[in-house]
Amino acid sequence: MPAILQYEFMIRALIGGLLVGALAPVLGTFLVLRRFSLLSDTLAHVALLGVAVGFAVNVYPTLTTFIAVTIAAVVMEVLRSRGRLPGDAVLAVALYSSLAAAVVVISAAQGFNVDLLGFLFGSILTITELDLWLLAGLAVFVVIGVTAFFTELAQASFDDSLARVSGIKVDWVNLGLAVLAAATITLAMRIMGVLLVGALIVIPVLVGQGVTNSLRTAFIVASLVGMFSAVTGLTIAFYQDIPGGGAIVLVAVAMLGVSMAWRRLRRRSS
Amino acid sequence: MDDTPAVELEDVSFTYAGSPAVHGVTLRIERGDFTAIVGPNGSGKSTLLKIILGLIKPDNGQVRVFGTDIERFKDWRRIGYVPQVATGIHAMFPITVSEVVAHGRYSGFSPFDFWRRGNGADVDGVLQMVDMADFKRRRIGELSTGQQQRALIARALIRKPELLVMDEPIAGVDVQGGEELYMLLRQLRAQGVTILIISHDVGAVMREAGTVACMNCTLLCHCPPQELTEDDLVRLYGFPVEVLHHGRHHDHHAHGEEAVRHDEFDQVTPHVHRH
Repeated sequence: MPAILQYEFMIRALIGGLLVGALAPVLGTFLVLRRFSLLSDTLAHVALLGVAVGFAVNVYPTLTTFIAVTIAAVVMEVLRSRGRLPGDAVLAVALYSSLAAAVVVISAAQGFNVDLLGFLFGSILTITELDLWLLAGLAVFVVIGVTAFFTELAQASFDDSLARVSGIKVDWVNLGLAVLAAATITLAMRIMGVLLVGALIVIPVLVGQGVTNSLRTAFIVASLVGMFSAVTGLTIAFYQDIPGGGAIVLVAVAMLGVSMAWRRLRRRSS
Repeated sequence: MDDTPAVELEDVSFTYAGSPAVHGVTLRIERGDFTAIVGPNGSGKSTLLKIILGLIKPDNGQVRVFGTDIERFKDWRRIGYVPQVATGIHAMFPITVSEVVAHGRYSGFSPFDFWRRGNGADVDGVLQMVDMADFKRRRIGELSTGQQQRALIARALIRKPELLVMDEPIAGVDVQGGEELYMLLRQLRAQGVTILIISHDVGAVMREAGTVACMNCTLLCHCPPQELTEDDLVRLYGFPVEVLHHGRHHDHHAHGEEAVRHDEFDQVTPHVHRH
Protein backbone atom coordinates (compact mmCIF):
# COMPACT_ATOMS: atom_id res chain seq x y z
CA MET A 1 0.00 0.00 0.00
CA PRO A 2 1.42 3.45 -0.89
CA ALA A 3 2.59 5.48 2.08
CA ILE A 4 -0.02 8.14 1.42
CA LEU A 5 -2.82 5.67 2.10
CA GLN A 6 -1.33 4.47 5.38
CA TYR A 7 -2.33 7.66 7.18
CA GLU A 8 -5.92 8.15 8.19
CA PHE A 9 -5.70 11.94 7.92
CA MET A 10 -4.52 11.60 4.30
CA ILE A 11 -7.36 9.27 3.40
CA ARG A 12 -9.75 11.84 4.87
CA ALA A 13 -7.96 14.60 2.93
CA LEU A 14 -8.15 12.65 -0.35
CA ILE A 15 -11.85 11.89 0.06
CA GLY A 16 -12.49 15.52 1.00
CA GLY A 17 -10.38 16.68 -1.95
CA LEU A 18 -12.32 14.52 -4.37
CA LEU A 19 -15.62 15.87 -3.08
CA VAL A 20 -14.46 19.50 -3.12
CA GLY A 21 -12.80 19.03 -6.52
CA ALA A 22 -16.06 17.72 -7.97
CA LEU A 23 -18.35 20.23 -6.26
CA ALA A 24 -16.53 23.54 -6.59
CA PRO A 25 -16.41 23.62 -10.42
CA VAL A 26 -20.04 22.48 -10.67
CA LEU A 27 -21.19 25.71 -9.06
CA GLY A 28 -18.27 27.62 -10.51
CA THR A 29 -19.48 26.86 -14.04
CA PHE A 30 -22.59 28.97 -13.55
CA LEU A 31 -20.71 31.76 -11.74
CA VAL A 32 -17.99 32.03 -14.40
CA LEU A 33 -20.53 31.98 -17.24
CA ARG A 34 -22.28 34.97 -15.68
CA ARG A 35 -18.88 36.70 -15.42
CA PHE A 36 -19.35 36.63 -11.69
CA SER A 37 -16.18 34.67 -10.91
CA LEU A 38 -15.11 36.98 -8.11
CA LEU A 39 -18.19 36.07 -6.09
CA SER A 40 -16.31 33.02 -4.82
CA ASP A 41 -13.31 35.10 -3.77
CA THR A 42 -15.55 37.62 -2.01
CA LEU A 43 -17.48 34.88 -0.21
CA ALA A 44 -14.20 33.30 0.85
CA HIS A 45 -13.20 36.57 2.53
CA VAL A 46 -16.60 36.70 4.20
CA ALA A 47 -15.83 33.15 5.37
CA LEU A 48 -12.80 34.50 7.21
CA LEU A 49 -15.14 36.74 9.19
CA GLY A 50 -17.29 33.70 9.98
CA VAL A 51 -14.26 31.75 11.19
CA ALA A 52 -13.08 34.66 13.32
CA VAL A 53 -16.52 35.01 14.92
CA GLY A 54 -16.60 31.26 15.55
CA PHE A 55 -13.30 31.37 17.39
CA ALA A 56 -14.25 34.57 19.24
CA VAL A 57 -17.51 33.14 20.60
CA ASN A 58 -16.21 29.56 20.85
CA VAL A 59 -18.76 28.01 18.45
CA TYR A 60 -18.03 25.38 15.75
CA PRO A 61 -16.45 27.71 13.10
CA THR A 62 -17.97 25.85 10.14
CA LEU A 63 -21.42 26.77 11.45
CA THR A 64 -20.65 30.46 11.98
CA THR A 65 -18.91 30.57 8.60
CA PHE A 66 -21.87 29.02 6.81
CA ILE A 67 -24.24 31.54 8.41
CA ALA A 68 -22.00 34.52 7.54
CA VAL A 69 -21.36 33.39 3.96
CA THR A 70 -25.00 32.55 3.26
CA ILE A 71 -26.21 35.93 4.54
CA ALA A 72 -23.55 37.69 2.45
CA ALA A 73 -24.40 35.67 -0.67
CA VAL A 74 -28.11 36.43 -0.38
CA VAL A 75 -27.58 40.16 0.31
CA MET A 76 -25.14 40.48 -2.61
CA GLU A 77 -27.52 38.70 -4.97
CA VAL A 78 -30.43 40.92 -3.95
CA LEU A 79 -28.34 44.10 -4.36
CA ARG A 80 -27.04 42.92 -7.73
CA SER A 81 -30.39 41.82 -9.12
CA ARG A 82 -32.15 45.03 -8.06
CA GLY A 83 -29.41 47.07 -9.68
CA ARG A 84 -28.82 49.19 -6.57
CA LEU A 85 -25.08 48.88 -7.18
CA PRO A 86 -23.07 47.48 -10.11
CA GLY A 87 -22.16 43.80 -9.64
CA ASP A 88 -18.42 44.43 -9.25
CA ALA A 89 -19.02 47.24 -6.75
CA VAL A 90 -21.21 44.93 -4.65
CA LEU A 91 -18.39 42.38 -4.56
CA ALA A 92 -15.78 44.98 -3.64
CA VAL A 93 -17.85 46.44 -0.80
CA ALA A 94 -18.62 42.97 0.62
CA LEU A 95 -15.00 41.83 0.33
CA TYR A 96 -13.44 44.83 2.06
CA SER A 97 -16.10 45.26 4.73
CA SER A 98 -15.98 41.58 5.73
CA LEU A 99 -12.17 41.55 5.72
CA ALA A 100 -12.12 44.67 7.87
CA ALA A 101 -14.64 43.18 10.28
CA ALA A 102 -12.62 39.94 10.41
CA VAL A 103 -9.43 41.84 11.30
CA VAL A 104 -11.27 43.66 14.10
CA VAL A 105 -12.76 40.43 15.48
CA ILE A 106 -9.43 38.60 15.26
CA SER A 107 -7.72 41.47 17.06
CA ALA A 108 -10.38 41.46 19.76
CA ALA A 109 -9.90 37.70 20.14
CA GLN A 110 -6.16 38.27 20.77
CA GLY A 111 -4.77 37.62 17.34
CA PHE A 112 -4.18 34.61 15.10
CA ASN A 113 -3.70 31.13 16.39
CA VAL A 114 -2.71 27.93 14.62
CA ASP A 115 -6.31 26.88 13.82
CA LEU A 116 -7.09 30.21 12.22
CA LEU A 117 -3.99 29.96 10.02
CA GLY A 118 -5.25 26.55 8.96
CA PHE A 119 -8.49 28.13 7.77
CA LEU A 120 -6.56 30.85 5.93
CA PHE A 121 -4.25 28.62 3.95
CA GLY A 122 -5.94 25.24 4.23
CA SER A 123 -4.73 22.28 6.19
CA ILE A 124 -5.14 18.65 5.37
CA LEU A 125 -4.51 17.85 9.03
CA THR A 126 -7.59 19.71 10.21
CA ILE A 127 -10.19 17.77 8.19
CA THR A 128 -12.42 15.93 10.62
CA GLU A 129 -14.84 13.08 10.07
CA LEU A 130 -17.70 15.55 10.64
CA ASP A 131 -16.32 17.76 7.85
CA LEU A 132 -16.34 14.78 5.52
CA TRP A 133 -19.93 13.86 6.36
CA LEU A 134 -20.99 17.47 5.81
CA LEU A 135 -19.15 17.54 2.48
CA ALA A 136 -20.71 14.25 1.39
CA GLY A 137 -24.17 15.51 2.32
CA LEU A 138 -23.59 18.74 0.42
CA ALA A 139 -22.27 16.81 -2.59
CA VAL A 140 -25.45 14.73 -2.79
CA PHE A 141 -27.57 17.87 -2.40
CA VAL A 142 -25.64 19.81 -5.07
CA VAL A 143 -25.60 16.95 -7.59
CA ILE A 144 -29.35 16.42 -7.23
CA GLY A 145 -30.04 20.17 -7.27
CA VAL A 146 -27.87 20.99 -10.26
CA THR A 147 -29.00 17.95 -12.25
CA ALA A 148 -32.63 18.78 -11.57
CA PHE A 149 -32.31 22.48 -12.34
CA PHE A 150 -29.59 22.31 -15.00
CA THR A 151 -31.78 23.84 -17.72
CA GLU A 152 -32.91 26.65 -15.44
CA LEU A 153 -29.34 27.38 -14.30
CA ALA A 154 -27.99 27.21 -17.86
CA GLN A 155 -30.69 29.47 -19.29
CA ALA A 156 -30.43 32.02 -16.48
CA SER A 157 -26.66 32.11 -17.10
CA PHE A 158 -27.07 32.42 -20.88
CA ASP A 159 -29.52 35.32 -20.88
CA ASP A 160 -31.62 36.64 -18.04
CA SER A 161 -34.41 38.03 -20.26
CA LEU A 162 -34.69 34.92 -22.44
CA ALA A 163 -34.90 32.78 -19.31
CA ARG A 164 -37.66 34.94 -17.81
CA VAL A 165 -39.70 34.87 -21.04
CA SER A 166 -39.32 31.06 -21.00
CA GLY A 167 -41.07 31.11 -17.63
CA ILE A 168 -38.03 30.49 -15.45
CA LYS A 169 -38.07 32.06 -11.99
CA VAL A 170 -34.63 33.59 -12.46
CA ASP A 171 -34.52 35.35 -9.07
CA TRP A 172 -35.08 32.06 -7.24
CA VAL A 173 -32.54 30.25 -9.41
CA ASN A 174 -29.92 32.94 -8.67
CA LEU A 175 -30.68 32.86 -4.97
CA GLY A 176 -30.40 29.06 -4.87
CA LEU A 177 -27.08 29.21 -6.70
CA ALA A 178 -25.75 31.81 -4.24
CA VAL A 179 -26.71 29.69 -1.22
CA LEU A 180 -25.17 26.52 -2.73
CA ALA A 181 -21.99 28.49 -3.52
CA ALA A 182 -21.94 29.69 0.10
CA ALA A 183 -22.21 26.14 1.45
CA THR A 184 -19.54 24.83 -0.92
CA ILE A 185 -17.09 27.59 -0.01
CA THR A 186 -17.67 27.02 3.70
CA LEU A 187 -16.77 23.34 3.46
CA ALA A 188 -14.10 23.61 0.77
CA MET A 189 -12.07 26.15 2.71
CA ARG A 190 -11.03 23.50 5.27
CA ILE A 191 -8.92 21.91 2.54
CA MET A 192 -8.21 24.83 0.22
CA GLY A 193 -7.98 27.69 2.69
CA VAL A 194 -9.92 30.94 2.56
CA LEU A 195 -7.41 32.54 0.22
CA LEU A 196 -7.35 29.77 -2.39
CA VAL A 197 -10.82 28.25 -2.37
CA GLY A 198 -11.98 30.59 -5.18
CA ALA A 199 -9.28 29.17 -7.47
CA LEU A 200 -10.83 25.70 -7.46
CA ILE A 201 -14.20 27.23 -8.27
CA VAL A 202 -12.89 29.16 -11.28
CA ILE A 203 -9.82 27.51 -12.86
CA PRO A 204 -11.27 24.04 -13.69
CA VAL A 205 -14.23 25.82 -15.28
CA LEU A 206 -11.88 27.74 -17.57
CA VAL A 207 -10.30 24.43 -18.62
CA GLY A 208 -13.74 23.02 -19.42
CA GLN A 209 -14.73 26.15 -21.38
CA GLY A 210 -11.60 25.89 -23.48
CA VAL A 211 -11.74 22.27 -24.55
CA THR A 212 -15.35 21.80 -25.63
CA ASN A 213 -18.16 23.71 -27.34
CA SER A 214 -20.92 22.02 -25.38
CA LEU A 215 -22.15 23.39 -22.05
CA ARG A 216 -23.01 19.93 -20.74
CA THR A 217 -19.59 18.54 -21.62
CA ALA A 218 -17.77 21.63 -20.26
CA PHE A 219 -19.60 21.15 -16.99
CA ILE A 220 -18.46 17.51 -16.70
CA VAL A 221 -14.88 18.29 -17.81
CA ALA A 222 -14.62 21.05 -15.17
CA SER A 223 -15.67 18.64 -12.46
CA LEU A 224 -13.18 15.97 -13.59
CA VAL A 225 -10.38 18.57 -13.72
CA GLY A 226 -11.31 19.69 -10.20
CA MET A 227 -11.12 16.12 -8.88
CA PHE A 228 -7.85 15.40 -10.69
CA SER A 229 -6.28 18.64 -9.39
CA ALA A 230 -7.35 17.88 -5.83
CA VAL A 231 -6.01 14.31 -5.73
CA THR A 232 -2.78 15.13 -7.61
CA GLY A 233 -2.19 18.28 -5.56
CA LEU A 234 -2.75 16.50 -2.24
CA THR A 235 -0.44 13.68 -3.28
CA ILE A 236 2.31 16.15 -4.21
CA ALA A 237 1.68 18.03 -0.96
CA PHE A 238 2.08 14.83 1.06
CA TYR A 239 5.36 13.75 -0.54
CA GLN A 240 6.88 17.24 -0.83
CA ASP A 241 5.59 18.51 2.54
CA ILE A 242 3.97 21.63 1.07
CA PRO A 243 0.50 23.16 1.76
CA GLY A 244 -2.28 21.16 0.11
CA GLY A 245 -4.32 24.16 -1.11
CA GLY A 246 -1.35 25.67 -2.90
CA ALA A 247 -0.43 22.38 -4.57
CA ILE A 248 -4.02 21.79 -5.76
CA VAL A 249 -4.27 25.25 -7.30
CA LEU A 250 -0.88 24.94 -9.02
CA VAL A 251 -1.95 21.62 -10.58
CA ALA A 252 -5.18 23.25 -11.80
CA VAL A 253 -3.24 26.19 -13.26
CA ALA A 254 -0.89 23.74 -15.04
CA MET A 255 -3.92 22.00 -16.54
CA LEU A 256 -5.29 25.35 -17.68
CA GLY A 257 -1.96 26.07 -19.40
CA VAL A 258 -2.01 22.67 -21.13
CA SER A 259 -5.64 23.12 -22.23
CA MET A 260 -4.91 26.57 -23.68
CA ALA A 261 -1.90 25.21 -25.61
CA TRP A 262 -3.98 22.28 -26.87
CA ARG A 263 -6.76 24.62 -28.01
CA ARG A 264 -4.28 26.80 -29.87
CA LEU A 265 -2.79 23.75 -31.60
CA ARG A 266 -6.25 22.49 -32.53
CA ARG A 267 -7.17 25.86 -34.05
CA ARG A 268 -3.97 25.96 -36.07
CA SER A 269 -4.55 22.46 -37.41
CA SER A 270 -8.20 23.11 -38.36
CA MET B 1 -62.13 31.22 -31.94
CA ASP B 2 -61.11 33.30 -28.95
CA ASP B 3 -61.14 36.96 -30.00
CA THR B 4 -59.17 38.23 -27.01
CA PRO B 5 -56.32 40.34 -28.41
CA ALA B 6 -52.83 38.85 -28.27
CA VAL B 7 -51.48 42.00 -26.62
CA GLU B 8 -53.34 44.83 -24.98
CA LEU B 9 -51.77 47.92 -23.41
CA GLU B 10 -53.78 50.55 -21.57
CA ASP B 11 -52.22 53.93 -20.79
CA VAL B 12 -48.80 52.41 -20.11
CA SER B 13 -46.02 54.70 -18.92
CA PHE B 14 -42.47 54.07 -17.74
CA THR B 15 -39.91 56.58 -16.54
CA TYR B 16 -36.20 55.80 -16.67
CA ALA B 17 -33.70 57.93 -14.72
CA GLY B 18 -36.21 60.75 -14.40
CA SER B 19 -37.10 60.90 -18.10
CA PRO B 20 -40.25 59.39 -19.58
CA ALA B 21 -39.22 56.46 -21.81
CA VAL B 22 -42.77 55.36 -22.59
CA HIS B 23 -45.73 57.65 -22.02
CA GLY B 24 -49.42 56.88 -22.10
CA VAL B 25 -49.29 54.07 -24.65
CA THR B 26 -52.56 52.33 -25.45
CA LEU B 27 -52.19 49.59 -28.03
CA ARG B 28 -54.13 46.52 -29.10
CA ILE B 29 -52.56 43.79 -31.21
CA GLU B 30 -55.04 41.31 -32.61
CA ARG B 31 -54.31 37.61 -32.92
CA GLY B 32 -52.69 36.68 -36.20
CA ASP B 33 -51.60 40.24 -36.88
CA PHE B 34 -48.08 41.25 -37.91
CA THR B 35 -47.27 44.46 -36.08
CA ALA B 36 -44.03 46.37 -36.49
CA ILE B 37 -42.95 49.01 -34.00
CA VAL B 38 -40.87 51.69 -35.70
CA GLY B 39 -39.23 54.83 -34.41
CA PRO B 40 -35.89 56.55 -33.98
CA ASN B 41 -33.20 55.35 -31.57
CA GLY B 42 -34.09 55.97 -27.93
CA SER B 43 -37.80 56.28 -28.71
CA GLY B 44 -38.82 53.63 -26.18
CA LYS B 45 -39.42 50.76 -28.63
CA SER B 46 -37.32 48.19 -26.78
CA THR B 47 -38.62 49.42 -23.42
CA LEU B 48 -42.18 48.92 -24.66
CA LEU B 49 -41.30 45.40 -25.81
CA LYS B 50 -39.82 44.59 -22.38
CA ILE B 51 -42.95 45.95 -20.70
CA ILE B 52 -45.13 43.73 -22.91
CA LEU B 53 -42.99 40.70 -21.96
CA GLY B 54 -43.11 41.53 -18.25
CA LEU B 55 -39.36 42.17 -18.07
CA ILE B 56 -40.00 45.75 -16.92
CA LYS B 57 -42.85 46.75 -14.66
CA PRO B 58 -44.53 49.92 -15.93
CA ASP B 59 -45.08 52.85 -13.58
CA ASN B 60 -48.67 53.17 -14.79
CA GLY B 61 -51.12 51.27 -16.93
CA GLN B 62 -52.07 47.71 -17.63
CA VAL B 63 -50.51 45.05 -19.85
CA ARG B 64 -52.44 41.98 -20.87
CA VAL B 65 -51.15 39.12 -23.00
CA PHE B 66 -53.77 36.69 -24.32
CA GLY B 67 -56.21 38.37 -21.95
CA THR B 68 -54.14 37.79 -18.81
CA ASP B 69 -52.40 40.51 -16.82
CA ILE B 70 -48.70 40.06 -17.58
CA GLU B 71 -47.86 39.92 -13.86
CA ARG B 72 -50.05 36.85 -13.52
CA PHE B 73 -49.20 35.37 -16.91
CA LYS B 74 -47.81 31.83 -16.66
CA ASP B 75 -48.38 30.29 -20.08
CA TRP B 76 -44.96 31.31 -21.42
CA ARG B 77 -44.95 28.39 -23.84
CA ARG B 78 -47.21 30.52 -26.06
CA ILE B 79 -44.57 33.22 -26.47
CA GLY B 80 -41.36 33.08 -28.51
CA TYR B 81 -38.88 35.88 -27.90
CA VAL B 82 -35.87 36.86 -29.99
CA PRO B 83 -33.75 39.52 -28.28
CA GLN B 84 -31.48 41.81 -30.23
CA VAL B 85 -28.53 40.19 -28.49
CA ALA B 86 -28.19 37.56 -25.75
CA THR B 87 -25.71 38.28 -22.96
CA GLY B 88 -24.40 34.71 -23.08
CA ILE B 89 -23.31 34.99 -26.69
CA HIS B 90 -19.58 35.47 -26.47
CA ALA B 91 -16.62 33.37 -27.51
CA MET B 92 -15.92 32.04 -23.99
CA PHE B 93 -19.44 30.75 -23.31
CA PRO B 94 -19.38 27.05 -24.19
CA ILE B 95 -22.80 26.36 -25.64
CA THR B 96 -23.60 24.88 -29.02
CA VAL B 97 -26.28 26.11 -31.40
CA SER B 98 -28.30 22.94 -30.80
CA GLU B 99 -28.11 23.40 -27.01
CA VAL B 100 -29.37 26.98 -27.31
CA VAL B 101 -32.22 25.85 -29.54
CA ALA B 102 -33.08 22.89 -27.31
CA HIS B 103 -33.41 25.26 -24.34
CA GLY B 104 -36.31 26.84 -26.20
CA ARG B 105 -38.31 23.67 -25.47
CA TYR B 106 -38.45 24.60 -21.79
CA SER B 107 -41.96 24.42 -20.44
CA GLY B 108 -41.48 24.10 -16.71
CA PHE B 109 -39.48 22.06 -14.20
CA SER B 110 -38.13 18.95 -15.87
CA PRO B 111 -35.46 17.25 -13.75
CA PHE B 112 -34.20 14.95 -16.48
CA ASP B 113 -33.39 17.70 -18.95
CA PHE B 114 -29.69 17.44 -18.10
CA TRP B 115 -29.55 13.97 -19.62
CA ARG B 116 -31.54 14.86 -22.72
CA ARG B 117 -29.34 15.52 -25.70
CA GLY B 118 -29.76 18.82 -27.48
CA ASN B 119 -30.17 17.32 -30.94
CA GLY B 120 -33.70 15.97 -31.20
CA ALA B 121 -35.64 15.87 -34.45
CA ASP B 122 -37.45 19.07 -33.46
CA VAL B 123 -34.11 20.86 -33.06
CA ASP B 124 -32.98 19.67 -36.49
CA GLY B 125 -36.30 20.75 -37.98
CA VAL B 126 -36.19 24.36 -36.79
CA LEU B 127 -32.49 24.65 -37.61
CA GLN B 128 -33.33 23.64 -41.18
CA MET B 129 -36.09 26.26 -41.25
CA VAL B 130 -33.52 28.98 -40.56
CA ASP B 131 -30.81 27.35 -42.68
CA MET B 132 -28.55 26.62 -39.71
CA ALA B 133 -28.47 22.81 -39.74
CA ASP B 134 -24.77 22.76 -40.65
CA PHE B 135 -23.89 24.81 -37.56
CA LYS B 136 -25.66 22.78 -34.88
CA ARG B 137 -22.46 21.61 -33.14
CA ARG B 138 -20.69 24.96 -33.40
CA ARG B 139 -20.21 27.24 -30.39
CA ILE B 140 -22.76 30.03 -30.89
CA GLY B 141 -20.36 32.73 -29.67
CA GLU B 142 -18.00 31.99 -32.55
CA LEU B 143 -20.58 32.51 -35.31
CA SER B 144 -21.43 35.71 -37.21
CA THR B 145 -24.10 38.06 -35.85
CA GLY B 146 -26.55 36.97 -38.52
CA GLN B 147 -26.01 33.28 -37.75
CA GLN B 148 -26.41 33.92 -34.02
CA GLN B 149 -29.65 35.75 -34.75
CA ARG B 150 -30.94 32.82 -36.80
CA ALA B 151 -30.09 30.43 -33.96
CA LEU B 152 -32.09 32.59 -31.55
CA ILE B 153 -34.99 32.62 -34.01
CA ALA B 154 -34.83 28.80 -34.15
CA ARG B 155 -34.87 28.79 -30.33
CA ALA B 156 -38.09 30.82 -30.41
CA LEU B 157 -39.68 28.71 -33.17
CA ILE B 158 -39.13 25.38 -31.40
CA ARG B 159 -41.67 26.57 -28.83
CA LYS B 160 -44.31 26.69 -31.60
CA PRO B 161 -45.31 30.11 -30.27
CA GLU B 162 -48.66 31.79 -30.80
CA LEU B 163 -46.97 35.18 -30.29
CA LEU B 164 -43.50 35.78 -31.72
CA VAL B 165 -41.76 38.88 -30.36
CA MET B 166 -38.54 40.03 -32.03
CA ASP B 167 -36.30 42.96 -31.17
CA GLU B 168 -34.64 44.16 -34.39
CA PRO B 169 -34.35 40.70 -35.93
CA ILE B 170 -32.48 41.85 -39.02
CA ALA B 171 -29.86 43.95 -37.23
CA GLY B 172 -26.53 42.54 -38.44
CA VAL B 173 -28.22 40.37 -41.07
CA ASP B 174 -27.39 40.85 -44.75
CA VAL B 175 -30.06 41.69 -47.34
CA GLN B 176 -30.56 38.07 -48.41
CA GLY B 177 -30.82 36.97 -44.77
CA GLY B 178 -33.38 39.71 -44.15
CA GLU B 179 -35.46 38.58 -47.14
CA GLU B 180 -35.33 34.97 -45.94
CA LEU B 181 -36.44 36.05 -42.48
CA TYR B 182 -39.42 37.97 -43.86
CA MET B 183 -40.33 34.97 -46.00
CA LEU B 184 -40.31 32.85 -42.84
CA LEU B 185 -42.44 35.41 -41.02
CA ARG B 186 -44.97 35.35 -43.90
CA GLN B 187 -45.21 31.56 -43.51
CA LEU B 188 -45.68 31.85 -39.75
CA ARG B 189 -48.32 34.53 -40.18
CA ALA B 190 -50.16 32.29 -42.62
CA GLN B 191 -50.22 29.67 -39.85
CA GLY B 192 -51.89 32.19 -37.53
CA VAL B 193 -48.87 33.22 -35.47
CA THR B 194 -49.09 36.77 -34.12
CA ILE B 195 -45.88 38.63 -34.89
CA LEU B 196 -44.56 41.70 -33.09
CA ILE B 197 -41.23 43.11 -34.18
CA ILE B 198 -39.14 46.19 -33.69
CA SER B 199 -37.47 47.28 -36.89
CA HIS B 200 -35.50 50.15 -38.33
CA ASP B 201 -36.14 48.79 -41.80
CA VAL B 202 -39.16 50.95 -42.55
CA GLY B 203 -39.18 49.87 -46.21
CA ALA B 204 -39.55 46.19 -45.35
CA VAL B 205 -42.05 46.97 -42.62
CA MET B 206 -44.24 48.93 -45.06
CA ARG B 207 -44.15 45.91 -47.34
CA GLU B 208 -44.60 43.09 -44.83
CA ALA B 209 -46.43 44.27 -41.72
CA GLY B 210 -50.18 44.28 -41.26
CA THR B 211 -50.02 47.25 -38.91
CA VAL B 212 -47.31 49.73 -37.99
CA ALA B 213 -46.97 51.30 -34.55
CA CYS B 214 -44.96 54.53 -34.60
CA MET B 215 -43.25 55.12 -31.27
CA ASN B 216 -41.47 58.19 -30.05
CA CYS B 217 -41.98 57.93 -26.30
CA THR B 218 -45.71 58.14 -27.04
CA LEU B 219 -47.57 56.09 -29.61
CA LEU B 220 -47.92 58.52 -32.54
CA CYS B 221 -49.96 56.23 -34.74
CA HIS B 222 -51.01 52.61 -35.09
CA CYS B 223 -52.45 51.76 -38.46
CA PRO B 224 -51.99 49.64 -41.58
CA PRO B 225 -48.88 50.75 -43.50
CA GLN B 226 -51.01 51.95 -46.42
CA GLU B 227 -52.55 54.55 -44.13
CA LEU B 228 -49.21 55.82 -42.90
CA THR B 229 -48.63 59.30 -44.29
CA GLU B 230 -45.45 61.20 -44.94
CA ASP B 231 -46.50 63.57 -42.17
CA ASP B 232 -46.64 60.63 -39.77
CA LEU B 233 -43.05 59.75 -40.61
CA VAL B 234 -41.92 63.37 -40.30
CA ARG B 235 -43.56 63.55 -36.87
CA LEU B 236 -41.91 60.25 -35.96
CA TYR B 237 -38.36 60.95 -37.05
CA GLY B 238 -38.37 64.73 -36.82
CA PHE B 239 -37.23 65.26 -40.41
CA PRO B 240 -38.42 64.38 -43.93
CA VAL B 241 -37.62 60.79 -44.84
CA GLU B 242 -37.79 58.57 -47.87
CA VAL B 243 -38.50 54.88 -47.61
CA LEU B 244 -36.36 52.58 -49.67
CA HIS B 245 -38.09 49.44 -50.82
CA HIS B 246 -35.68 46.73 -51.76
CA GLY B 247 -35.57 43.12 -52.77
CA ARG B 248 -39.10 42.91 -54.18
CA HIS B 249 -41.34 45.01 -56.38
CA HIS B 250 -44.02 46.76 -54.46
CA ASP B 251 -46.80 49.03 -55.51
CA HIS B 252 -47.13 50.91 -52.30
CA HIS B 253 -46.33 54.66 -52.50
CA ALA B 254 -46.95 55.88 -49.00
CA HIS B 255 -44.79 58.92 -49.48
CA GLY B 256 -45.89 60.23 -52.82
CA GLU B 257 -43.01 61.44 -54.87
CA GLU B 258 -40.53 60.84 -52.08
CA ALA B 259 -41.13 57.10 -51.93
CA VAL B 260 -38.43 55.18 -53.77
CA ARG B 261 -39.47 51.96 -55.43
CA HIS B 262 -37.01 49.75 -57.20
CA ASP B 263 -34.61 46.86 -56.83
CA GLU B 264 -31.39 48.78 -57.12
CA PHE B 265 -31.26 49.54 -53.44
CA ASP B 266 -30.39 46.00 -52.39
CA GLN B 267 -27.10 47.11 -50.96
CA VAL B 268 -28.39 50.18 -49.17
CA THR B 269 -28.06 49.63 -45.44
CA PRO B 270 -29.81 52.62 -43.88
CA HIS B 271 -33.48 52.34 -44.62
CA VAL B 272 -34.53 55.76 -43.46
CA HIS B 273 -32.73 58.63 -45.15
CA ARG B 274 -32.56 62.23 -44.05
CA HIS B 275 -33.23 64.66 -46.88
